[in-house]
Amino acid sequence: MKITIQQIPVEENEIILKYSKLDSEMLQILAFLKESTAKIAAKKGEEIFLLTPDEVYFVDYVDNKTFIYTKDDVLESSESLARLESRYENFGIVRIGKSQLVNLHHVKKLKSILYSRIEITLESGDILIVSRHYAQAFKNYLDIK
Amino acid sequence: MRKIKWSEIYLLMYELKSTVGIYFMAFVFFYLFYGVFDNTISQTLDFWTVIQMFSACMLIGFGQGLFQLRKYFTIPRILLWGLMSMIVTIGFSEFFNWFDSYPVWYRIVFYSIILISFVLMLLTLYWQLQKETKNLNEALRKYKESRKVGDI
Repeated sequence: MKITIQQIPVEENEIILKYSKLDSEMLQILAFLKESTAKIAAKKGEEIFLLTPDEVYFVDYVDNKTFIYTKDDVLESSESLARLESRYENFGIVRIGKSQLVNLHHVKKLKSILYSRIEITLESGDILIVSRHYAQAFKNYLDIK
Repeated sequence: MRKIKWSEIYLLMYELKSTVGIYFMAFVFFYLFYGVFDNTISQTLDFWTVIQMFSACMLIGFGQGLFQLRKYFTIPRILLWGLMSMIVTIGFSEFFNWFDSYPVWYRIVFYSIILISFVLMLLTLYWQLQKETKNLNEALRKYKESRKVGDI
């Protein structure tokens, strides 16, 4: 399959797929694109926003509610933590505790702390802790054996 | 109750051999060192004292396994292991009269140095955390870079 990437002045980024036969390779690409462009619906007050996975800094599950933290905002989502984790793991949104997910792309620095835990400092300045139970899985995401 | 396999005991001993070895060397060294300066003290070590010292060092080594220091290197576990090891050291030394013919200050120096070696474990903890932090940040940097390339 030939891949062509062009940088041209356009109003909105566009992907065009040309094929003569819809084979498994094309279906895989379509599935990936569908998943990649999927947005997370979250509300703030009466307004509903559609967030890209990259806008998510971390997710917190408190009092049976899922809160999504972006750079400057906190929004509520109807999605469960498990669903967000399974759907957006490939985008760097990973589990760090029983009730928290973090977007690895917005992690500024990490610090190994006592009791086999990891302290995460986000670009927003927020500090989260990877619990001992999830520390090994977290290291696996980062390809640390 | 879980059946303990011989292979597990062997592997545990293999893992703890350096701790056992280092403490055994320290015990033997201290036992013989004073004799270099005082001719009334023997510079030889009899077989049963060797067995006693080796047993004490084995217990110190097994203590590391008991408190799972390799897996959970935490302050309370280090302190518990240090306490247990001090009890073993003083207990064996006093019960088997290792330093009976030595001046009292010598055995106090011996106990103090062994105690300091346990405290140094805390320093090891600090260095280990620093090393892990460095590895974590390096892995994070690589993760972010690889994902950028992967996205294209």
